[in-house]
Parts: sequence; C-alpha cells; structure tokens
Amino acid sequence: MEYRSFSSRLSWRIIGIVSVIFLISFIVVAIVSHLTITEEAVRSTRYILHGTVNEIEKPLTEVEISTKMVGAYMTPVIDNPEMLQMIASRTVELSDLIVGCAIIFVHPDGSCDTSRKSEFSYMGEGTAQKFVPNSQQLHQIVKRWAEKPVANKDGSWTPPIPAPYNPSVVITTYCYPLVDSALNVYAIVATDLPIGWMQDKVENLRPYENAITTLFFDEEHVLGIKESDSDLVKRFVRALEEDKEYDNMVSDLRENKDSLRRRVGKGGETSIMAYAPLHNGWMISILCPYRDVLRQSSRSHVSLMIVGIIGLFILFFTCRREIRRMTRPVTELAVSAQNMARGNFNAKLPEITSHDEMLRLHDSFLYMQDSLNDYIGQLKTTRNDKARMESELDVARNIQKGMLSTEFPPNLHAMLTPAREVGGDLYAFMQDGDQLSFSIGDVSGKGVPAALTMAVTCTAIRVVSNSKQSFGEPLDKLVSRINHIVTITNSNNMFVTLFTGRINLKTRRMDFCNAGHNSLVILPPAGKPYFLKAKANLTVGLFDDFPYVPESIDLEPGTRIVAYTDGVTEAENADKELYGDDRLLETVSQLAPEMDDKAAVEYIYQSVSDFADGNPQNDDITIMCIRI
Amino acid sequence: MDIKIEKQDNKTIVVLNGRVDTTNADQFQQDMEPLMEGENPDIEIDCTDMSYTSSQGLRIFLMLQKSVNARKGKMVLRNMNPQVKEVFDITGFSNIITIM
Repeated sequence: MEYRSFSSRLSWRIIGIVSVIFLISFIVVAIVSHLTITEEAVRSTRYILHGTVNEIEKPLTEVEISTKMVGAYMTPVIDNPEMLQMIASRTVELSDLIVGCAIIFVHPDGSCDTSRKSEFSYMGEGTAQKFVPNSQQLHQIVKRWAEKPVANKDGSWTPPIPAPYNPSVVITTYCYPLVDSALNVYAIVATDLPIGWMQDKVENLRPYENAITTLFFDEEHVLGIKESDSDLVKRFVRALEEDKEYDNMVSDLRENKDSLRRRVGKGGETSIMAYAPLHNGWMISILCPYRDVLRQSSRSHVSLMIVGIIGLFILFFTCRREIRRMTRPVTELAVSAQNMARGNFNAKLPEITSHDEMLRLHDSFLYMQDSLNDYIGQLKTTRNDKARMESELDVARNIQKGMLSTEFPPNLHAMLTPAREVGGDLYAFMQDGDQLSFSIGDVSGKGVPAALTMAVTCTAIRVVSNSKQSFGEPLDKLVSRINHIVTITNSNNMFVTLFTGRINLKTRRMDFCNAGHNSLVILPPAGKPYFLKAKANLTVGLFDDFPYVPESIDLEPGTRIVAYTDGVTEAENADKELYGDDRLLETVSQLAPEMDDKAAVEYIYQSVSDFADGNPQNDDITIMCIRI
Repeated sequence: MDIKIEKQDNKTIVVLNGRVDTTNADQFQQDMEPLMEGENPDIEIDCTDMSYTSSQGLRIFLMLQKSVNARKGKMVLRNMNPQVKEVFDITGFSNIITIM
C-alpha cells in the first residue's frame, strides 16, 4: 500500500470536514440571501411601480377635471356653435396637456346626431385650429367616443391612436357625456392627450438592466414594447394567456387590486412580474428577469466562494505545517525504530520536550532499546560460547575419529556414526599373521562424558593389546587389564559394554569374552543367522576384581560375524517402533555371499537408516562385519 | 516416568513407572540421590511398571547398589519384566544387583 504520512492524512481529514461545513454554510447563506434579495426586489419594484402610477395618474386626473369643466362651460351655450368652438379653442390654447378639444352630439343610443353641428379644435402651429372631419371620419369618431360614456353615463379614456388632425402625434382621448334632465346623453365632450410623455416614462422605468415596463390600455393596445423586447413580452403575454396567471391578473384588475407575481416564463427564463392598475382601467407592469435580480448576490457568492477556497488552501497548509511540527517526534521515532529494526540498537532517539503521549512513547522506546541491547549482549555471549564449544567439540570429534583405525584388514570392516558431535561407541582391531583380534564397545550415556570414557577405553585397549605378545595371553586376562585401567580412572560410575574376540583364521576358532555387550550375529555359509550365546560378564569399568570368563567357538569357513551396538537394535522410527533383534537377523540373512565386509556394513546401516526414515538418531550406531 | 518413594520401617520402597531414558535419567538420578546416604540403607525397588532402561538408568542402579554396599545394607529389585531383565543380564548387572 502507498505510504502516506500521518500529518498529511490528518490534514486531509481536517480539510475534508472543514470543506463540508463551509459548503453547507455557503448553501445556507446563498439560500437566505436569495430569499432576502428577492424580497427586496419585490418591495422596491412595487414601490417604483406605485410611484409611476401616481405620476401617470396625476395629469390624467387633471385632464379629466378640465374636461368636466369644459362640459360645464359648454352646457349653457349648447345651442351656440360659435361659443362652443371658442370654448374648445380656448381650452386647447390654455392647457399644457390638452392638444385637442371637441364636442359631438349624439342620440341617447349613442349614434351620431347630425341635426346639430359638432365642433372640433386642436393645437396646430402654436394656435388653435378648427378641424372639420368628413362624414365618414365623423362617424368613426362618434363610434370610438360614444360607446362607453353612453353606456356608463360617465367619462372614459379611449385607446391610443394617431390623431386624425396630425397623424404624427399619438393621442388618447377622454370622453365625457353631457346628459339632459331625463338623464339621456345628448353630447360628448372630448379632450385629446398625447401619450409621448407616458412612453418616455415607461421606457425609462428600468429598475434592472433588462427589466421591461409595459403600459396596457386594453387587450389590444400596449405601450412600452420595443422592437428588441417584443419577442420576450409577446412570449410572456402568451404565457400569461396560456395559464391561470392571466385570469388572475384580469380578475385582480377588475377588482382594482395591484399585485405582484413571480413565475417561470417559457424558455426557462424566470422573472418577477409586478403590475398595478390605474384608476381608469389601464395597467402598468414591470417584468424583471430573475437573473438580473440575483446578479448582485451571485457576484457576492462568487467572491465568497473564492475567499472560502483560498481560506481552505491556507488552512490546509497551516494545518499541515502545524501537524507536521507536532508529529515530528513520531516521524523521527519511526526512523529510529526502522534503524533499530535494521540492527542498530543504539539508534538515536529524538528529544521530546512535551509532557504527553509522545514522551511516554519515547520512554517506552528507550526502555525497549535498553532491553534489546541487554538481550543482544547476552545473545552474543551465548553465541560466542556456543561457537567456542562447537569448535572445541569439532576438535574433540576429530580426536575421537583419530582413535578409531580406518585401515581395515581384508576380512574386517567397521563403521561408527555418532548421534551427536562426539559419542561413546568404540571399536578396535589388530591382525598379526593368522590372528585377528577385535573389540566393540558402548559407553553408558552420551555426549562428552561418554566420549571421555570412550577415549580412556580405547587407550586401554591399545595399551593392553599393542604387542604381538598380547596375542599369546589369555583373553580374560586382557579384558581384566582393560577393566582395571578403566575402573581406576572412573570416579563417576561410567561403564562400558565391551565384546572382545580373537580369531585364529587358520583353525577358524574364535575366543571371546563378552563384558555386558549385545550378542554378535553369526551367519554360517549355509543356514540362518543366529545370536552368539555368550556368558554375561559384568560391563567394564565398575569392579576392578571382577572375574571375566572367556569362551570359544569353532566356525565354518565363509562364516560372517556381525558385531554392533544397541544404536542399531534400538533405532526408532516415527511410530516409536524399535528396529529390534528380529529385523537385524532378517537383514543379516539378506547379505549376499559375494558382498565384501564394507558392502555388508553399508547394507545393514542402510536398512537401519531406511527404517528410521528421517527420525532423529538418538544413539551412536556402530556396525562391524568380519568374514572368515 | 513416574517415581514414588515411601519410607517403611527401616527401609525405603521405590515404585518406578515408565521408561528410564536420556530425557529423564538426570531427574531419576536427582530423585535417587537422597537414598544414597543416611542410616537406613535398605532399598526395595518395585519394577512392575518399568518398561525400559537405558545405560544411564543402569548407571543409577549401579550407584545405588554401590552406596548400599558401602553402608552394608541390601537392595532388591522386584517384579522386573523380561525385556528389562534381559538388559540387566546382558550387561552382567544381574551379577552385582539382586533381582527377584
């Protein structure tokens, strides 16, 4: 796995948590600020709207009052066309607002009363001019003006149209009915108000950059749509018509309520729409795209985000530096520990000044270092001791090997395999002409004590039989002398089982004396192998005066003699079974006549080794084969 | 192996159970050492359940025998099984140790 330092992981963890908190805070702030800004936008838009309504209504009201007054002046002179014409002209001339004034006569049903002469006056070239419409124009005018006043018996404004007397000026007309005593309308007094100033007002009313202000006269006449905005407003109006929003708006207007709604326009554009009715049934609306409203807050959100991210970076690096500073002892301890693991037990530990877990960790490390040093010291001593002992044992092993002759005569071979570095088994032999003498023995116990006793015994055998004269001595005498030497040097009750034999190769008579050793196996040239029956004399090394008894046997030519130690018969396999006497007899019976002594020894050893099958050898194994 | 030592009148009775081999010969020797001194030298060893003895075991029996002889006492090994008896016979220990 990739290595990542503790300080770096801790820093990342802290930054992660802080980032999440920051993000949540940011979202909450953004939501709250959106709500606040939206509310603020609604409030200011409504405020602006009401101001504009007042500004537009003021001249309208003035014109309405003026018109009613004109009506009042005209009523007494209603039958005098010249006076009517004069009043109309004076009205046009005196008023700052009114550009045209007229009186038309109608029947109570609203149709044109041609029996009386209507009078028209308008402002032209600085003075009042008289306007005489043709018959068709007159009928159109009557139709436009009379319908609502006759029906309502009250004044009303017409939608804007280019003035008939000056098509370059767009006007709206206030029509006020005059009624007789029977409350029948007989005439309409009308004054023209140009709408250019309204247009200016509406166009300049832009609380937000892309806001659109619109003045609705009725469903067909709309003011304030510029060519570039027309699509948007049309879309908006169409959207309004398609859903309940429009119905609500109409009903609001009918009840003279102003209102403000927010909606999603078609095409994904979200807008705030505010609208307010005028007293004469017109309506002003302001459409503000939501993105404009929120632009301010979006800008501040971006700033906040940038500041936040910079803050997080600073926090990360500061945190990392601080954590690294505080955890430096851990890093250094880790390095020390690694050095210790590589074997440098005196690795320097960092100094800790704080009194906290770091100090405890440091102290534990120090303690561990001391313990390790002690332990390693002991281990080194032990190892050196062991190495010295091993080398000494190695020398001892060589010395011991040297005591065992390996230059075998033609009819004898022997092999000794110690269980440990040194062992207690021994063999010896000597030939002089037809005389062949041999010994095989096993010292009680194992290891160094047994090896020392083995050395004494070997030396004793050599001393006793190291002359041709020794072949002339009785065998029991020889064994007694060996026993004597071993006994007087044996203060520790060690003993040696020792079989000694002497064969006259000519007569094939064997003298032997068995001092507590395993019986030999005799394999006659024809027949089965058997254990040589021998009197059990006491082992060598215990009692100086023990009377050893010699025996003799005559052997056939071609007889094989197998001498061995108990390491053979007591070899164990993994199932704790012993090799045993029977298996030994069986193995010896398998020795082919053509096998020489060396091959016979190796065959028996291999059989024992196969039997043990890797199970550790727990006693020395010695095998000696003789053929006569 | 398991060793039980019991003082009875003026002799000591030892009951051996199991094998005497390289692994426990030292322990056996330590257990027997108190018996090699003192005023009541007579020892009777019950070998009914002793299944094997190595040469180290033989050496300890020999040490016991020598200490008993030195104090003019008697040591007897009883109920020895034939395999163990054979070891005593082969080594000639039967000549110096009383086996009944």
